[in-house]
Amino acid sequence: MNPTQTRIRVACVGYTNAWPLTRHLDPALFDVRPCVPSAAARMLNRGEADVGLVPVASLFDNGAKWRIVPGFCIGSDGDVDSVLLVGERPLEEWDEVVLDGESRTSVILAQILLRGPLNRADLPVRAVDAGTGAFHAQGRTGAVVIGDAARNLPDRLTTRIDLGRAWKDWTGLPFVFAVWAGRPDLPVAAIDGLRRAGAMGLPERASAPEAERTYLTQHIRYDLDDRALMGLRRFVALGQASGLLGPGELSLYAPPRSLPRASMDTVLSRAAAGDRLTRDDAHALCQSAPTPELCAAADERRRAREPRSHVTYLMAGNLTLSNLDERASALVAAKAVAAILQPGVAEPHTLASCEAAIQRLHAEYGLAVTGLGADDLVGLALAANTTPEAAMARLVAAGLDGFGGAPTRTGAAARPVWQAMHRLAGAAGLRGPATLTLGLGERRDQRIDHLFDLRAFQDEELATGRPGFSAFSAWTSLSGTPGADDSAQAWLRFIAVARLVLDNVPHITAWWPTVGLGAAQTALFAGADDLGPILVDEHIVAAPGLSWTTDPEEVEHHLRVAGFAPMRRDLDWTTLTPILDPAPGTAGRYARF
Amino acid sequence: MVTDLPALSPLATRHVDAAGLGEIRARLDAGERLSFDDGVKLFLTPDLSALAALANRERERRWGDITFFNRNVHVNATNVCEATCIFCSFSRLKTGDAAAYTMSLDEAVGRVKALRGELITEVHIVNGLNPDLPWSYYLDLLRGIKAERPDLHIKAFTAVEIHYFAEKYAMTYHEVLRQLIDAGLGSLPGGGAEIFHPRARKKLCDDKVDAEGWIEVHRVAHELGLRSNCTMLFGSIETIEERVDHMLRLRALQDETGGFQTFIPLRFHHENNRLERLREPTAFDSLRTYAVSRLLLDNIDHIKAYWVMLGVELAQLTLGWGVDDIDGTVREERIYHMAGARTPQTLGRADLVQLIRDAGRVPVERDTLYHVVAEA
Repeated sequence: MNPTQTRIRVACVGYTNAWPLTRHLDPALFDVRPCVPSAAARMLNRGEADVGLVPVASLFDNGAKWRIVPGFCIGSDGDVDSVLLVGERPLEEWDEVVLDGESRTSVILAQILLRGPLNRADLPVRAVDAGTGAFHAQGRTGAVVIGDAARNLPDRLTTRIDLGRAWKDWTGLPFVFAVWAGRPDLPVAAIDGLRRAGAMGLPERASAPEAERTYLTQHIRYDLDDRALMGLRRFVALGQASGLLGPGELSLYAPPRSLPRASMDTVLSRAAAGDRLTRDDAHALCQSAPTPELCAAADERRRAREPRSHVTYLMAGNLTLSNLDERASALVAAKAVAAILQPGVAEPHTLASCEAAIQRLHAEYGLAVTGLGADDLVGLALAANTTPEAAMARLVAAGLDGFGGAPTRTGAAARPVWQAMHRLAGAAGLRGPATLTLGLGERRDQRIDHLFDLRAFQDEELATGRPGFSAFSAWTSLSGTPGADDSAQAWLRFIAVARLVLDNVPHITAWWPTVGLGAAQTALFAGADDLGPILVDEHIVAAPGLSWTTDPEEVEHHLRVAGFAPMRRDLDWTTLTPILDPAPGTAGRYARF
Repeated sequence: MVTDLPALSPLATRHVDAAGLGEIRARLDAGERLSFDDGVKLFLTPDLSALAALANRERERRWGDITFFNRNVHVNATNVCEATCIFCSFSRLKTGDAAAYTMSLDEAVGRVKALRGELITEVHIVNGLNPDLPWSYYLDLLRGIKAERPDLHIKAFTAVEIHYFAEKYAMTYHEVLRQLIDAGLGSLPGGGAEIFHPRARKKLCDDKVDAEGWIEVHRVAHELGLRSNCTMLFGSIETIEERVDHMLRLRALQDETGGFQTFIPLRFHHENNRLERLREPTAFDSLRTYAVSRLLLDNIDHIKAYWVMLGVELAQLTLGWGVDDIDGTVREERIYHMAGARTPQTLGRADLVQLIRDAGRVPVERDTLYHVVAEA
């Protein structure tokens, strides 16, 4: 905080149980004004303090217009030791209770408990001067006593009901006596400062003098956590229902309403105009660009490349060596044009078996064959005791029509491998997509860096006359790992950034089985112009809870209602087949989708 | 909380204008209210990012990045229902039917009791129109919940139920609501609005309270000091015009009373009801509906997405299309699950907080009246 600014005025009680929260208040930030508990609320109301350690009951003196600071409070969770109902005789024999005026919260707690679990709703109550409760507790008169008086009682007071304990036994919840509360516009720095003071002060309870230590560490509970908040809410509801507390609602301070964001206007405008982005640009966009504008910029690039408002997809599906015939038949029945060969990790496969599979898919089923990725090729060559070049030559001779589909991996170690293998494929005239799986433990900046690796590689390939990648596609891993950053939102933004960065890759594929067809439909407004292969075997990518379809009509419907003409493609986008609308004219007009 | 409207960036302005929304943008820039025709035009704009740019500006002007959620418990005390709404899986269920149930009061209160250890702040109660229950059932239900958890806010009974109570138990809306308030009612949920326009309403739910009745119940509730929510069932057989008409009727009542807190577009689900052959709305239709509602309903504070219907992925995306509130950790959700919602029944609080943070927003846990309950 700027020293020329006024310090935050804090109304603080000097009670034993308050010092862990108050002793480390930064004097540069706070102007601490000691007071008795009831005065804290008064000082707030009069504008003499900005924030204070306020007894809960006082929050409702003026309709609860104060906000509560999250984090810490002064509460109990069982015996509190310093708030008691006392008397010389058992509670059943009392005929009145005097209420010590020093703490209204405790007094209201006592009244609620008398009406509730203590079963003495009939007892008349009488207010007495602060600090005189124990003196008045004589004969059939009981008293609420608090603070040091409660912890040093004369022996004659044999009935001692700990109100923190009685509350806990009744509700199962902690009780909150006081909270940090202040004016609604308290600066964030002040809220942080109050919390920091508590975080520093609480550990020091351990070195408090013996007599205090037990009280501060075992009786007073400082966490304003869910359970404490429930106790607080329960108390307020009961107090208000019985007319002991004024009206009003509890409300904590909200976090700052906006996350800090640098203006991205310049970078976004350059990106939308088609300028080649630098790594810094892309990192900044990914980090800070508002989603609507990131999508809009990517959408402009997509439209600049592909003015026609159609979206392509491929009637193709994946299969493995072990389910080859079953899946191939299903694909043919579904009018597929291509098969994506994914030799399974768990099944035995060799270069020879892959060659045979390719030949069979061609000859028996009339399907074009793509699939296999850099890692597959390396593995097949190794197992066949040959070079990747020779392995590639054999696969091409067998009739392989495309390459890629298995994800490329991020990072420097993986880079030479996928580069070399895709170069081999390019030299053989095979094209295919570059793909990336999000959420396998890579950081967000590593994903961006990977896009630049791909862009540089694509530049080289195109410069040497090889075909390069036909498309880029990303999907999420469904790993469910916390912090994987592979939510639908992260994926959508990454698709947009990919469109902007990969200015030399023709198509962006929104491959949807792991994010849902809905998210993919949204990505068509964020740079994607293709949905990829749609006849996917759901056993391979089962996404729990997601709407799933391999029904081409459903896919086409999603395209039409979003204003795009569905267009079936082949592996290389050389032949495009428009799919006519079976019920023309309805899309867009009525909400009948 | 509403701050001055920030200017759109040059890119967004160009994009919005290229989508044919220049006039509407200019009107929003000038702080003018959008018309019926504007609403239709927005719906027919085939450009999701242009809609996002406009709706997100309105959202951030009101709430910045703050995204609300709450922890509540849903109680559907009975699914027996006299109404014949064609979109509903509970339609015409009679006591004794295999799928029908009516909870005893102990059972219903038990739903709340079971969550004794959780910081929930609200009970959400919506029921079928059950001809076999006495009026005292509802009052005792509220009293029973209040006795068990006096700290919970009870948001209960759609306008359709209030209307049904008034007819069945021969009282005015005012009398019904007065007695419910005395028994513990805190606010009204927004259900039962479906589509107001008589053409669609006749097809969807001919024997349900009409638009005027629905609006009147909320008017009376607002006069009695209750806040309420409002909804729209979208994506069944209604037209775009009927959606816009629906929103403008709500806007008109809000001008009068200011009692609505939140507008909740409800996405049509087609399983287990008589509209099974109808396709469900796509993400495109959902997102544009959220965006247009944020733009048209200039006098309603919040637009809420109900993730149970949308799925987690789409619910997250709505935060960029005008939504500032995600309906939270729902338990005991029955209505949508009988209609085939495939999402998990509950999302943990931490999951919801993460979902909001992953969208680049600031999660805030609220109570029914949008007070901050706890740190997210």
